Amino acid sequence: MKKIITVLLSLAVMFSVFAGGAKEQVDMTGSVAMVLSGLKTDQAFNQYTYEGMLRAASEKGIKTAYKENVTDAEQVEVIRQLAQQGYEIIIGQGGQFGDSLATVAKEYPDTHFIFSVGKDTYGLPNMSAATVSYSEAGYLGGIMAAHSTKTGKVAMITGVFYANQAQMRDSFKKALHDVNPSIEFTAIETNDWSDTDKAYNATNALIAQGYDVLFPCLDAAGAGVAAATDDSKNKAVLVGSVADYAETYDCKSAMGSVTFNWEGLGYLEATGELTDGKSHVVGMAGNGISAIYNNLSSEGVAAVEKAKSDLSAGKINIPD
Amino acid sequence: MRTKEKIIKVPFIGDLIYSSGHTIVGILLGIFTGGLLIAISGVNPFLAYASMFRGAFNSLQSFSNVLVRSSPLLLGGIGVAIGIKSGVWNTGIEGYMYIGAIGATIVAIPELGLPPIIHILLCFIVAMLFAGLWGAIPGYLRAYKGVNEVTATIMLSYVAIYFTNWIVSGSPLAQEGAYFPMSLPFAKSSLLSILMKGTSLHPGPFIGLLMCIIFHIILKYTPFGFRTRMLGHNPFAAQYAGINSKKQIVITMVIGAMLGGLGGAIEVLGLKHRLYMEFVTGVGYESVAVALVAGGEPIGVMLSALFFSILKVGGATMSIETGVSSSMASIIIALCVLFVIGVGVADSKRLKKRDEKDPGKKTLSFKMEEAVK
Repeated sequence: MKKIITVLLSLAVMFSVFAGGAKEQVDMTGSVAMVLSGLKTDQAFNQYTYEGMLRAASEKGIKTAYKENVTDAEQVEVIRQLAQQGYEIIIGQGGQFGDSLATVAKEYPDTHFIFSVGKDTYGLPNMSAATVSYSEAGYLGGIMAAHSTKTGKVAMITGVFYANQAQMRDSFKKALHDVNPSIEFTAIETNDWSDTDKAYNATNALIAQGYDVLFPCLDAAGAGVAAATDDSKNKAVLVGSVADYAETYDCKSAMGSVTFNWEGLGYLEATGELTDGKSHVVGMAGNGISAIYNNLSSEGVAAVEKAKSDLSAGKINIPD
Repeated sequence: MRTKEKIIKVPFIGDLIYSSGHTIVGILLGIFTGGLLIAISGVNPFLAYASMFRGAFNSLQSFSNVLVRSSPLLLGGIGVAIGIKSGVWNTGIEGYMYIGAIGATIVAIPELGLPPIIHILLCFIVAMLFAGLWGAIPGYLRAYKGVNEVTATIMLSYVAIYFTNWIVSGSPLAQEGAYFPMSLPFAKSSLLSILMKGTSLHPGPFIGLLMCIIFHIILKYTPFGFRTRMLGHNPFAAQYAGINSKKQIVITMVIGAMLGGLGGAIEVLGLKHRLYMEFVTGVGYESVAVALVAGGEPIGVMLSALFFSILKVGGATMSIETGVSSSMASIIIALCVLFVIGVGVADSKRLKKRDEKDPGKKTLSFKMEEAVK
């Protein structure tokens, strides 16, 4: 028994030494913390925005912290914990963080909070919002799709129609209509951003119904759409969004993609350039989105380029 | 008094452990193995555990996080534990939480002009009613149709989760133009009050603790509790003694469901003040682990729910401060559960072998088993 007590006491002493030793004075000037709804290795916006923060940290020498896979129940607790630790900028990466950021922002008026992939600042001076332009991306994707369809049937596949995805769908539909009003359009949700099987099966179902252009707006599940279009034996092609489908998923049937510069968004957020209490939408002008061409016809490429300049000139009316 | 007979031999640890402390031994082994994994991932396990400890106990605020996180685990855990006592696996807590939260949302959104206490109680009652009805389905199927309750409850949980997804994205209760599927905000009178400034501490954990005590008393000292325990120990004997086992199974499953529903309602009324998609990811399944570690005992649920919450809250701090993967806390929880079960199985095998070898000592092991029961 004495031996057990001795061992336990020794462990307790070691434990308290380590516990005490971990406390040290750290310069928190410009420090940034990011909370992620998924994993920092998801090959989607969690990973790329996180990498943007890391680039900002290495360039500016600022302290960073992150917490990945933050569930709904722990959001407020984690954000508050980071505010207590003195991080000057706290970024909530994902539409689900808005309310929680606002709750903690009210308690810590001297800390800056950024609601990423959202546009609501909750009327708080220390809360900003930032996202890429889903509207511009949808419009450019729509032009590509309209110039790729042979059956005149185009489909969009997404996880869930949040406000951003709904905006993307509307501008995509507008682009289809601007090119050819008779194009038939449908939009479906798989209810999962990462389930490749679900995305694969949903795509096959759409192809069976005659849809020959698929426009996925997904995270890792995009691989399922890419695989299904490649397996369709030229019955369907794909116009990617968010990621470069030809490069990321080795999709042979990709006509082109409208990529989101998540890394750039994460970088901008972490550098403190967006902490003005306003809502920021980073589009083509801010290098937030880019059009990539793969198998798109020269006519299609020219149409996309024209759409880009028209959008920049404000000739096309899409909500942002 | 502990005797030599209560000691089990564990490789490399030897005679150090008392067989009556399965849970403690299992937890210690889980923490130790978790430490090894942390070390393999390149982080000093002592620093990581120290950071976990700080995250949970550094201040009153940190400990309030532990309490907040324990709220659904306490209610879910007791819901599963009652099932275990009556011999059924009520594994549908996740689904009950969603259905309960939907019920609470329906009455929490409109301004009913009620005093807060009445509005909150109304939300609780509707949540428990919704979840109770939901729980009656697998209860009826198990009791009267012989359908496996684990399959039925898990399948129904999926239905509940997808139903919630629809409620927050396509129903009239959904918030339009939201950046994440969520319901409309709740009326102020329906919100649980914050008990400590600068924290999210609401009355939920205390309601959970109270429920554990109430159900400890019910199970131990009432005819209902006696019937439940008898059914769990020996369903044939219970039936022979005149207990309506089918009715008892349905009742225990409905009670478990109501507690799960209450847990879900408290989460939405106390934390986010809206119903969100996936607002309790996995918490219902963790409740099963809580009840398992507690050995199906309501008082044990109090301790194991708090322990799980310490790991979860401390795990978040550990992840932020040391860079250990965010899933490490879940891995440690899983290891603890596995070791608690494993040590229990190893010990009962040891006792069985010993009884076979030396029938003279059977009385002692019999007494111990009785004590455990």
